[in-house]
Amino acid sequence: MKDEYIKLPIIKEVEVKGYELFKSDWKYEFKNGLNLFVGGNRLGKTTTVYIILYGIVGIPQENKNFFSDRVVYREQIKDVRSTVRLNFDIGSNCIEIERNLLNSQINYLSINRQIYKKDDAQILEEIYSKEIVSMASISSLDDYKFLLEKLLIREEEGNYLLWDPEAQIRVLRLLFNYEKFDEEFRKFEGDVRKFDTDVRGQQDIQAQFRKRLDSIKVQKSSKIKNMGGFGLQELEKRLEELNKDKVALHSSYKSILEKIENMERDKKQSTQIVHGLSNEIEELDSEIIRIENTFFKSVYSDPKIQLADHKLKYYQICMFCNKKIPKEKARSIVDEIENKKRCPVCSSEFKREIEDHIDERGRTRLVDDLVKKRKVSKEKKRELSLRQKHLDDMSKKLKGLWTGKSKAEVEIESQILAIDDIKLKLSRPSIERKEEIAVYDRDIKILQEQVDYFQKIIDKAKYNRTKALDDLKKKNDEFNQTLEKMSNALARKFKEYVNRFLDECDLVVKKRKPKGSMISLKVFIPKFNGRERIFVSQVSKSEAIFLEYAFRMSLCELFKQITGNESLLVIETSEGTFDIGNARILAEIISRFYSNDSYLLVISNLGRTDFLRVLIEKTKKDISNRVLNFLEIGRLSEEQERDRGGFDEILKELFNI
Amino acid sequence: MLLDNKTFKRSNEILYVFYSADELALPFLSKIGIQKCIYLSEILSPLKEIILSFLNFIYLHKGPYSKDIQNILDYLVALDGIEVDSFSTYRRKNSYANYKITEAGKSLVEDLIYDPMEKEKLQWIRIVLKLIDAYKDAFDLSEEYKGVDKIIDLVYQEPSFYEISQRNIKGEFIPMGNKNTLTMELIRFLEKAEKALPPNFDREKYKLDLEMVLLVFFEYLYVEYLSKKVQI
Repeated sequence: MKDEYIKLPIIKEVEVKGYELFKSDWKYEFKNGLNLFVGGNRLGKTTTVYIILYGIVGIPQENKNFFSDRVVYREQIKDVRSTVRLNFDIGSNCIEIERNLLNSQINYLSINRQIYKKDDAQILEEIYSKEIVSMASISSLDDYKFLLEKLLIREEEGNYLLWDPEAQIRVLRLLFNYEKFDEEFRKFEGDVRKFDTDVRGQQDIQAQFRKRLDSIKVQKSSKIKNMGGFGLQELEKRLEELNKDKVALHSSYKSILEKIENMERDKKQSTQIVHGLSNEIEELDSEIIRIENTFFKSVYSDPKIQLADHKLKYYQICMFCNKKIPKEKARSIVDEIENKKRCPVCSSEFKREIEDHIDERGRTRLVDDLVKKRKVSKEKKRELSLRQKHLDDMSKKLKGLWTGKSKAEVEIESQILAIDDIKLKLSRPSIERKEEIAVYDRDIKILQEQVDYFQKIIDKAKYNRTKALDDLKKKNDEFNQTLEKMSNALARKFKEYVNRFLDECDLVVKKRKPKGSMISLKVFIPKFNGRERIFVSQVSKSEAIFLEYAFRMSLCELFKQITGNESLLVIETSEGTFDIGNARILAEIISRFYSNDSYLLVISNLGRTDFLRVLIEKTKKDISNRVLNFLEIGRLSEEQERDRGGFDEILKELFNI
Repeated sequence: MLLDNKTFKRSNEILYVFYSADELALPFLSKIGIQKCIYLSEILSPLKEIILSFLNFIYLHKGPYSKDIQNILDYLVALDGIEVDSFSTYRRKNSYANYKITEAGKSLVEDLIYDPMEKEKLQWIRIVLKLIDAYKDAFDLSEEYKGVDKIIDLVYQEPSFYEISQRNIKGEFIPMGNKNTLTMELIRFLEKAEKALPPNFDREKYKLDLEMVLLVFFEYLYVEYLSKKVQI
């Protein structure tokens, strides 16, 4: 016997007293090999399984009313002293314990015939627990509870070890390792989980700070961008463009000024020329008028033309009616005109000069001079006209240039304003940074510090997680080595069990990462018809039950083989088991298990006599003392009472009871 | 009388009117007729690119009137350039006189046209007089109007005068060369046409052709007269 391995409880005897589910107290003594609990439905067969389980590990707090609830009518519970007394071995140690089925209290405890007094139930429980842990090489009673629930007692539908990797691995760890292995493994796993939780938790907290930090950074960036309707970069770009434009505008303005200057100079010169020409023309025209006057005067003073006063002076003829007047009167009027130089009618002063007559030659000369001067005047006037037109054009152009200059000045002014505006806007962020942006900067700094602080914690937690993970992996590697050693033997045994039912079905090792596990683990899964059946849905219900029984029986057998320790396997046949022809095969498989005297409890209904018959045939032992008849101890319903005779006949025939 | 350049020229032009009338064998020119002849000659003168001496005309019921013309007429009579053919007064102050050129006046004109510019003026006034003579009998006027006076209905249609006449303000100055009148529009059109002529074009011939243009203008005034007459 190897002490480092777990020692499973081997039930020797179970005795139930005062429990109203049953019509009488009862007691059963387990034998190695086959044990049969038979009866009808609702007579307490399944409850008996739990009586054994909770008798050993205690009734779980969350299920404290389990046994009282099983009683159909609670008022039936008369005896508060409903008890179970279990007699079981752990290794070479004998334990006898009596528990109250209604409150789980230990009434009696005897270990290796040493009886512990029932002074304090709590203390008794502690003693029991401590002793069991020590004797069974387990970490706590929980290990027993787990093994009993998951491996040794298959009552519950769907309780498949083959397709529950988490449970399967723990069962394997418990069965095939030294006593603290599973505890250590779970501790490392717990450490990894704890540090992983730490990492995730701190990352979550850090993420909150980081999210806030990013948000504030965005807000700050947005704030800076939105200052003045432009982003800083845009403003700088715009300023650059404006400065470029400014240079171009100034150059253009300078060019306009130069043009104006040149044109004003030209205009001044042209104006001087025009003025000169105008003066010349004026002089010429004056001269022309003077010559014209000379010409006209000479013409009008032609002696051929009889002037009014001439006619009066020499011919005494009236200037108005051309009639002869007296000489004296005529002389008097002429004297007024010539000597007194007054108008003979109104006596006003008379400015009249009598021009000397010019002869024909002189007149021709005058006209030639006149024509010549008129020609010159005309030419000069034409030139003046052209010059004036040129001057007008120049003035127009100048006007345009002056307008352009004014426009350019306005543009330059508005550009200067625009540049100043942008410079102001550009300078504003720095001011606002002190006032508004500073708030963001302060928040950013604080949040960044928080993010950094949590990063340190996360880094430390990650380090711890990595370390714990390494320990866990080492532990798992250690377990994998063990698994490797026993996997062939287990597979062989499994194959032997299933080959009656399924040809060519193997048990293979597969890496899986169970839910909640921190690492990938190796598990056993069945493989037949060339396919690995990773999920229970990949097999039929009867296949699932057969494979599951085979796996459990193989495990128990291998456990016994490797550790030398016994186990008690409890199988409650379920309805899905019995398909046509299957009952016999199942019976043959089960009989293989107890053929080497392994403890086996089969709980079955009396309905499938073919199954029971094969079991009995294979046992080759006296069956009558290996049967607990629930028809006898259970409270039968009216229908069951009515059919009782038929069942009794079957019992008599099968078990001779 | 002060004999300045302007007065000489005005005298010249009036003499040319009488000279042309004599050539056309028009028996005499009344105070009214001479006013109309000078008005038409002056307002249409831009067509011939000659400058007459810018007499000021005012609006009167009997057509455009310039008092300077009357003064010059008196002077020319004193000078013996023209003579009073007949004289009568009506409504006490108002006089009615018919004038004609004297031999001394003709001699004076012939001396004056030694100057080519003066000759050109005479030519222009002669054309205008020729057309006035041609149109003068086309109007349905009372016995009061004789000879060239009959042209009064045509002058009424002249756009510058017509525009003023619509306001009927006695004594209002008639703007010579009003840019908005049809007269000036026609003058401007011809100026443009003249400028568009090629440099080697016979401009003298073109100026002669302008006499035809003037004829068209008179025809237009006459049509206006007729259309208004129909309306009445």
